[in-house]
Amino acid sequence: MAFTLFRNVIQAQPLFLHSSALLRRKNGVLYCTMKSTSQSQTQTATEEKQQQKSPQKVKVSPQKQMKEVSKIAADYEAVIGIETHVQLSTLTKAFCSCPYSYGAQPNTCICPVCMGLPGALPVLNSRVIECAVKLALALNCKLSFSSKFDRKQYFYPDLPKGYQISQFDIPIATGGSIDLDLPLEFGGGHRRFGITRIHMEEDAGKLMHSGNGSYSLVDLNRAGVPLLEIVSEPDMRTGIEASEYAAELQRVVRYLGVGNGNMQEGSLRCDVNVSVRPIGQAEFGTKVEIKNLNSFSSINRAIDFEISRQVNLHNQGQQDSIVQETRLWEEGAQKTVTMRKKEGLADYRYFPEPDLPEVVLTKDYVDSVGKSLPELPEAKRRRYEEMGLSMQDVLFLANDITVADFFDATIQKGADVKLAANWIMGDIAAYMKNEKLSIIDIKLVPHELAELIASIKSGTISGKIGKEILFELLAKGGTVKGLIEEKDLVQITDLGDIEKMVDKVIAENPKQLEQYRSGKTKLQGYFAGQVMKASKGKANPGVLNKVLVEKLNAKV
Amino acid sequence: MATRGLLLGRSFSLLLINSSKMVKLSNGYGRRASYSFLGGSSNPLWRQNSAAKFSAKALVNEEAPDVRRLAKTARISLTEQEEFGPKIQQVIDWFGQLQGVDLNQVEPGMIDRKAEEGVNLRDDVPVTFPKTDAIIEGLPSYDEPYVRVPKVFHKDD
Repeated sequence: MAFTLFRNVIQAQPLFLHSSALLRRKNGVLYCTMKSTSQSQTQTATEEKQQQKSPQKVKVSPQKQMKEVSKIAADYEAVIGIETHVQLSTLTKAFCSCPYSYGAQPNTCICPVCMGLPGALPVLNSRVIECAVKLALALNCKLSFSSKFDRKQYFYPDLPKGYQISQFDIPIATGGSIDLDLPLEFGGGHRRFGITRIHMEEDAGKLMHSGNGSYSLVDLNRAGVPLLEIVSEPDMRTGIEASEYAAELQRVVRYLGVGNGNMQEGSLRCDVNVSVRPIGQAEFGTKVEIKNLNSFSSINRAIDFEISRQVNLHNQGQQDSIVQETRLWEEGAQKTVTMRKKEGLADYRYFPEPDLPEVVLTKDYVDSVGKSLPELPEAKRRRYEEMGLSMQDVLFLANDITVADFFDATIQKGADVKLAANWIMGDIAAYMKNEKLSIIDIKLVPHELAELIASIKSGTISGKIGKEILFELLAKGGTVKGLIEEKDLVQITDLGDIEKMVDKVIAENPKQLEQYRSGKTKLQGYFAGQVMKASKGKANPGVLNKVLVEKLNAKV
Repeated sequence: MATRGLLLGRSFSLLLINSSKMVKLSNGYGRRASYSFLGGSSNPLWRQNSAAKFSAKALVNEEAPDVRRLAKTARISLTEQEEFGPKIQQVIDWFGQLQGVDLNQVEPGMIDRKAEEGVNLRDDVPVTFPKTDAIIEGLPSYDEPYVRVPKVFHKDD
């Protein structure tokens, strides 16, 4: 069981959290006007029951979620804290030189150290410290220039040594924060959540229970893989805030390159602690831990379910039946269930790891790591906002560092910001999705995209031709200029040339001309199409239509 | 499991590691954590500068060591629990003499640094251990490619 440090101090809620809670309620009312404007503040048990039914649907619309959230927010406040384990993507394990790769043959990446064999001694991987310092700086934490390792002792088949090397009372980093923007479909808004601590530790192996048998199977490849544990302050108030916190952690982890933060693979694991208390009460309610969350949306739904469950019990006067326990989220049934009621708490008998020296950081080292940090998601979002992009564009572009880098490179070549964003979010994203490629794999390069945008803007080619060229560039690469020349795609804008083509088409289609004259003005499109066909799509649409209107209406 | 001779000594020392100075802490969420290290209140020994605050007697557990619980957490079967209680207490009291030391002028330290010259770190370079077959051969129960173990559901059992 993870050790959680939730302070006993009555936390003065920062002002913006209050105002954001108000905001949510306001939004809630907005959405609720469909039902009835006069909504009673007190909830009846039946109302709560109806509420509880909806979380069991797998897809709950954001509006409905917010409606429920705001209903609950009226009487109760949920307090949520999250413990996250991030698996580091180092080449070797934390305390031995075994290489680790996800999916390798079981029990092949092992050695006496990670197997806990007698006499083996741990030696810390320097890259683990580097990753920890990077993450700590990215999360605005205070670094401990001197920290130590401790033994967390318990017996379990996936733990070879009988203890886990972790950091107990002196972690490498404490007291930070993370900034994020909520997605627009959930009301948007900026949030800042506190980070209590970050510490280094090692992972255990993988345990698989056999169906009916009296035995289990263990794969120790993962034993000894380095982890960073990030404990948040209990600042989150809703399921969406919690899942966005986790998503932002994933974003930061990927931006820094310290891990791939994949929940499905298990390289990012979250345990959530939820409690509720009546609004105005200073003491926290009894907290419940939820495990077995495998995706961000599960985090969201599990928390909202658990909040409903606890509020329901409160409303029925049964708040004492909420006990401190661990519950499992069942994805199929969409509810939390008791894992097992515990009597007493785990006793890990922590003591300082005698086989490892202190971890000492120097100011120079920390500064050099700081300099190597890339621009973080929060900074990128603020910069994109300032460039005039809409929040929707900002959230899309800043989500993946490779996409953001592509975008930055494109506008650095002078491309128009909004146009570049549109191309990337539109046609390019669609192509990537279809072909299941990442932006690094596509053959289009940023400066060619910039060239394409410039060519369309200058009128050299039409927008439609631009789209065709794009597809070719994405699939096969090449240069814009090259393709324009090769396929002779330069737009025809010369008035004389267009007039000649229009004359020819009009002469070739007397019947349609008759129909047009007698009132079927829609046929202008037909003529335009014919000219486009004749010009192989190169005629400038603006000039073409102007000429058509003149000529079609002129002759008698 | 019979505890005799060498085994007696070993299990005794294990019990000691597990029992030395349990300090129960209470934090805001009502959870309890325990420190098994000689130290009072919420700070481990090394952080305390004024040991004068605590006399040896005050720090020692008022109750006798809960030998049954200690044996359970250490996963040691004892046939005779009574004899260990006083022995464990004796060792704790003996260490308790340290509380009498005045640490006011002493810099807090964590690990004996004189023993190490600088920090001992390893580069992130993979090295495959050559004798993994020997490790596998030494396993008491192997169900290729996994290690077979008795079924244990919960970590706290």
